[in-house]
Amino acid sequence: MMEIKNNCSYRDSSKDIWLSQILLERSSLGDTKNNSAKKNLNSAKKIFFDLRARVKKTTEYVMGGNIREVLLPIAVLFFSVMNVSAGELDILTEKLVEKNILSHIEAQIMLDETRQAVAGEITAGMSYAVPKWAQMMKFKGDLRLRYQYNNKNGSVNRQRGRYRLRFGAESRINNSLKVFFGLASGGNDPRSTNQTMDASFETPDIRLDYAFSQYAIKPWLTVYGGKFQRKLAFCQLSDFLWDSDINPEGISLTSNKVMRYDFDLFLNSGWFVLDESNSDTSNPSMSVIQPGFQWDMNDERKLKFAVAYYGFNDLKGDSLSHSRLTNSLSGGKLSYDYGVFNPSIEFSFEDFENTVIPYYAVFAEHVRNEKVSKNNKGNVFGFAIGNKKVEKQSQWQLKYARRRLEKDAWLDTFPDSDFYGGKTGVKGHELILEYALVDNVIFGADYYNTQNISGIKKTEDLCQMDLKLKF
Amino acid sequence: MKKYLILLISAGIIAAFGVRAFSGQEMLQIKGSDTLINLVQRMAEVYMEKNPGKLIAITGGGSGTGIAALINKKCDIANSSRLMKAKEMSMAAGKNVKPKRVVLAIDAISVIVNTDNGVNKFTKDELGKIFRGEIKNWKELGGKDIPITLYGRQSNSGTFVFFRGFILKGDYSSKMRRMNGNAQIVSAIGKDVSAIGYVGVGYVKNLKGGKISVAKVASRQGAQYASPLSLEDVKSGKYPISRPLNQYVNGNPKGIVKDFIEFELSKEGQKLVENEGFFMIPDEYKKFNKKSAGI
Repeated sequence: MMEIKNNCSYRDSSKDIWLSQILLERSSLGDTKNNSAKKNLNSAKKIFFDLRARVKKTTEYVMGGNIREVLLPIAVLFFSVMNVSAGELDILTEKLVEKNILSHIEAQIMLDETRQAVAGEITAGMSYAVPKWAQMMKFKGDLRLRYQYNNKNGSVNRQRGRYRLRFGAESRINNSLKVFFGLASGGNDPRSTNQTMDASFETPDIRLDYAFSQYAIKPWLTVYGGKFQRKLAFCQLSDFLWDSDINPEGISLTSNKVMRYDFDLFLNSGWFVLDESNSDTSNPSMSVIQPGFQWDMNDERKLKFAVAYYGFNDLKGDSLSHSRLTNSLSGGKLSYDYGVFNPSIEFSFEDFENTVIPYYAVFAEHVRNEKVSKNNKGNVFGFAIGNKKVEKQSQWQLKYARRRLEKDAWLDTFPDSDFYGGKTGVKGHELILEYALVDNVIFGADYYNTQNISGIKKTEDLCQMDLKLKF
Repeated sequence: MKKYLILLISAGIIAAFGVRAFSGQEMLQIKGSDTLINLVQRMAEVYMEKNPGKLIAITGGGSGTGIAALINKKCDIANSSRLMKAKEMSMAAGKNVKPKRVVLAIDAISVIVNTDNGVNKFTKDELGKIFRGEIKNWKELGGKDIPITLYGRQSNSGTFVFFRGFILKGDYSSKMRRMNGNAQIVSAIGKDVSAIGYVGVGYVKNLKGGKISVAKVASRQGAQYASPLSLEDVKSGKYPISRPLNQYVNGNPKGIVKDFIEFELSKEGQKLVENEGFFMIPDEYKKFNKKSAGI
């Protein structure tokens, strides 16, 4: 490390060099008009000349063959303080190689170490070249354009143009604590962020989609609080029980421990508020506990298993907002309590060498409301083939699921709102195809064929064609 | 009843969290770069012959896959043909993983074409234009009047990332065919007269016969064309597309990790590097490894 006589650290000396150069330039333009500025200039000159003497001494050191130890800090200084682009540093090192000051290998080492050092500074929020906020915050979002067609027995066929905008930010407060928030289009239905094109180009609402804090107590133990993304709180293989737009509110503790290379244990738990009334002390809530494991049977085969128990409190005799009114009711209030047992399993196979079908998976879930003796079960079975994620150009996935959800197996406030309107007492099939046209632009087609289980049979066909753009 | 069963399973898992990861036989898990996989597999075979009772498992998936596995503590060593990105360093810090880099070998990324092509010399700038899709026909380079077919790697490949940053300075053409590994690229180019691709030198140095021609590359117009097969050209920098091949470990290596890496860097290990078609690390990188990981 280079140090200057007044024992400043390397970092301080780099700022001093920059400051002293700026002051010296200004002095030559007659910019110093007062005593304190002159004092600053004199001390800057002292630092600069001191540094120049050091460089001279260093040149002698260089001739002794220790060029890398000298030039690396200069390169990092140059790169991070002077806001030099990577291309300019490449040109500099190329010149040094041409002049035989550096060997090609030394130049390569210096460039690599500089890049890693600067990347490390940005990671730690300590870079001078990148604004602080840009180091501490990340943004992401997506826009979905949709054509939707509904054909339901006994109803007028419906065609709609719809769109969805989501935008989110993540801010790091310190190494353990982060804050997240997201905005989305749509109305107050927790199961939809879609906006239908209607009402003479009326300007729609933007709502708070999620807002929560994340605190990493240990690398394997995290607590969330607020309105957070559901995938953080519990493991879900499908939208059988939970619509993908739902973000629960409450507190969640999740843990994930790598027992050995091929075996992870996890335990998700949480307590969530379903409703609150200032005139009633019995406010409905939900608690969850979900242990599970992931076993990497080999590099290609993975098995994931989890079993959840959802305990609901103060539901019987109450009613929930956004209910589809398909659970058993007495006088408009829920007739039963709910205590739901939900095991789920997924087996997947991923082969990097296979260019045709690099991934396939089969999955199944079962649900049973322990508080009720009839119409209390449900299950879903499905498979997926193609690529595990559809993000990069030409990646694709075809997914099929068949499900059945009885009337009181689960609360009708939560299931996928596109599957027979999100009701319970339903069964049917879903087929999804996704294809990435270019990176982060995905075409999707989703088809539902559904019907009610009891009463007069009514079927519904729903077809959605999507263009998703991620940014 | 089921509620109590779940609580019991949960209690068992909580107890298990306090248990150290169980291990039987001394084992080393290595994941990552497709460029490095054959070399490291060969080294592991020789090491295991010398050290019965020690087991080394190696899989590919690309540099990105290996680094992700190291961050998630799914492997002991991540093979990587590129440096870690800032995002990966941030994730590692969040999971209390302290990556240390060791340089194992030198690679010269080789641009390959079909021998029936007629064009086998390029400048760096021309390669950038070809792979960005700006030069679309071989006739623009003095070759046959046939459209250029591009072969490259998937985005989780370190070679993909390195080539994009070092040669393209932009995005790949959307028409580039993305192959899963170096071997697939070599195979494809051998069958396609219009093809051009890039692979690690280890995949072409020992090729005999076949329809693959290894192109010479100049750093700029007017500079000397150099071959990736020449140690002198690679070491001097005359061949402009060379890079270190790396292994990342979590913290300063200990136990079997340290023992295996020391073997890789020994004379015997470096001889295997040469046999597999790559170049041994020069003294500058030996000093780097000492400083970086204490090896």
